[in-house]
Amino acid sequence: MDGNKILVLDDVSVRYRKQDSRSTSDIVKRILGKSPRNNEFWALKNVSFSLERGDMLGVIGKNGAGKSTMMKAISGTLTPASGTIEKTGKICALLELGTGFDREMTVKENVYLRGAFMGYSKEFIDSKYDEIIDFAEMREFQNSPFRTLSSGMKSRIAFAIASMIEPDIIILDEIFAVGDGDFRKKSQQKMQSIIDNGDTTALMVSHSLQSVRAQCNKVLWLDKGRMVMFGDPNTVCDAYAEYLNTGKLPQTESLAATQENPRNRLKKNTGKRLAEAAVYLMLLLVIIAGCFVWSQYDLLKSYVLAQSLTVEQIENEAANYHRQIDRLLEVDTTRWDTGIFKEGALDIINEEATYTDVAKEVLLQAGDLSRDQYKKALAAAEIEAIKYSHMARLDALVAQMRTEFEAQPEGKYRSLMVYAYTNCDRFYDLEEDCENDMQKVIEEIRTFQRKAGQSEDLADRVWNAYKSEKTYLLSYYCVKLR
Amino acid sequence: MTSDKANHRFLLSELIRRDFIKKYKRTTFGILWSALSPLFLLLTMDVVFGTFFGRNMPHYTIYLFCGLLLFNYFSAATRSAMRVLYDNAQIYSKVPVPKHYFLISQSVAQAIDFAVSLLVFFIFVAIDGINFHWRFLYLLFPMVCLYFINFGIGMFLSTLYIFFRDINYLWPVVTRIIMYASAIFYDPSILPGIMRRLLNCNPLYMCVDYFRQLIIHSTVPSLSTHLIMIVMAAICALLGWFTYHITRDKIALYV
Repeated sequence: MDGNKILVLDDVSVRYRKQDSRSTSDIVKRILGKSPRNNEFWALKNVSFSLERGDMLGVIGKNGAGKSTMMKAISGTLTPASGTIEKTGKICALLELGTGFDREMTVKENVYLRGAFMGYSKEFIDSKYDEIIDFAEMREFQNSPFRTLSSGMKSRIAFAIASMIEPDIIILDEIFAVGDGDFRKKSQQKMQSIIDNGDTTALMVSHSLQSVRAQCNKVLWLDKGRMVMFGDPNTVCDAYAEYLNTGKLPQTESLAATQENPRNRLKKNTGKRLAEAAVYLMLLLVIIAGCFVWSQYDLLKSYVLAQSLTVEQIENEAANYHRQIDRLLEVDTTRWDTGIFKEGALDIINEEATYTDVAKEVLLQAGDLSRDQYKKALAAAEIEAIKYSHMARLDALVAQMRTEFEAQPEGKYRSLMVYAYTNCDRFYDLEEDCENDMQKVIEEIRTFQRKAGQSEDLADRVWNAYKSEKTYLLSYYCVKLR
Repeated sequence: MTSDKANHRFLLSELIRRDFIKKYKRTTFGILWSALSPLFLLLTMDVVFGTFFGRNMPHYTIYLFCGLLLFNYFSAATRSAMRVLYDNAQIYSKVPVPKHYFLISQSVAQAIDFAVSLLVFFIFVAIDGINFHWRFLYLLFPMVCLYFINFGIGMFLSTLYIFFRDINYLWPVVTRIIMYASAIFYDPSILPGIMRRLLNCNPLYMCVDYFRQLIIHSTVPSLSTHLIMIVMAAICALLGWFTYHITRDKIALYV
């Protein structure tokens, strides 16, 4: 920026939306491509001008010409859709007097808050506070909530802040239309003294050509968002006065430079913004990717661990822990879901997986385990596998026996065996009444063997197996008895 | 011109003061509500759920309080953050000020609120006969994580609220789901395996569990837990910042 240029607008366009809120059906239509983007409205089109320190710019134009929009864009509360605004120093914008305050807070708190918003330090506002409150003639109201003030009072305090804290650029949007006569006079005088000082650049919106001619050294004429003329107050004001009479816009250079749809122009801001957004998006993606890897970390860890051991080693380790397994199961399954062992065991029986696979699952299930815990889990898995492999074999056997039984109804002992097996779980639980059942079964076996002329020690062996809770031995004898 | 950094700090402190004052403006008990409201909720839930879940769990009141304390912070912070950009629109659409200052100040005001209820929490911990230990300093870690989680989600919601008011009705539902998915009043070991794994994807549950492990069992969670929590907090914060960042120019047009 040039040394003296304090405010430079370069090809600034501002876009508004016509409708207030869009409904869900609008969004769906947009996504489906059935609705054109006709919801937009260019409040400002390709406006370019620059001001130097001490300039006083008057902005004229009919209602809805984009005057206030331009002021908002300069103050920074609106971001232009395209073009750039370069400004130096602090800006104080009096857009609509008495707005932009917190209704619930007191006047004093609002003064400090407004000062803070404008980027001033606490010390600076401390030093200016008395001046502000006295200028606004509000000392007795300084501790009342802002919402209790009248609109005139709100305007006074707003103007007092703006004029006392000496901004580099001051924006006045038709502010002298409010306030009582005395205060208006006082504020106009204050304004004049600020401008005469020559340090502050001011932009004012006014419908009074008289005051524009008197106070401003540059004038901008806007019409429907387009820049009609910019320059010497008398020239522009004369042209404007003529337009008000005839209703014909003069054909000026700046008007010709305006486009119907300014979006086609280069958007410096948007490019930069998109680049920044892309960086954030990438960061987000990296983190999500990191998360994914992390969530698979346990699997990777157990995989590496499993690769470093041979099947024999694993089986040996499992055997070592075999003896302690009851205690271990008691201790550790509180943390682990035994269901996973069962599933794993069934996988092993179906020869679709190895112990290592089960262990991997266990690791996944239990979260991060130490190597020691891993071994324990492995052993536990193996025990479950042994238990359930017998169960599964028995299941198959029972199915087979039942089929045979139906084919040969005369084989009564077979039904007993089926009975023995199907009650296996109960036998294993060693319940009292089960013992009676088992004794009956043993008796049947003895009778059968006597008839068949076989030795009777099988019945004893079955009984022993039952007594020592060896379910799978029991099932083995069931098979043998066939 | 004076140093900008100091002035920004002044702006932030003014905003935080404002948010905090406004929260309890025109109440009789004022800041005491920060302590009282979780207390009432705790007592109610303790009476109701204590009979179900408290029987075979030592320090059930503290167990419950850990969950309630953090969940309350989460729900209050996100709920109030959701409205920040909307409520302050009348200010930032008239006075040029970066909009995220309002979000930051709101989050800090909520954190102060949380700190007050934390004091009550520690009083309960002392009453329950749990010895204080230097390891309790570790609690700062989940608190910081939760701050960033709340900040990020709050920012996300606040931005979304500008464009879709539906969030106002949707978020309480989501909050309720998160509440049940944080094992606040029950023991997660009653859940089937897959549900327990899902529980670990809930950043709020991670924080709650961290509190419980440290205070009730006085064990420090593993390094991987810490890392996961950092990543979760970073995701939330970035998500919020990202959403805000791509839409911040449009916000002024929608409010």
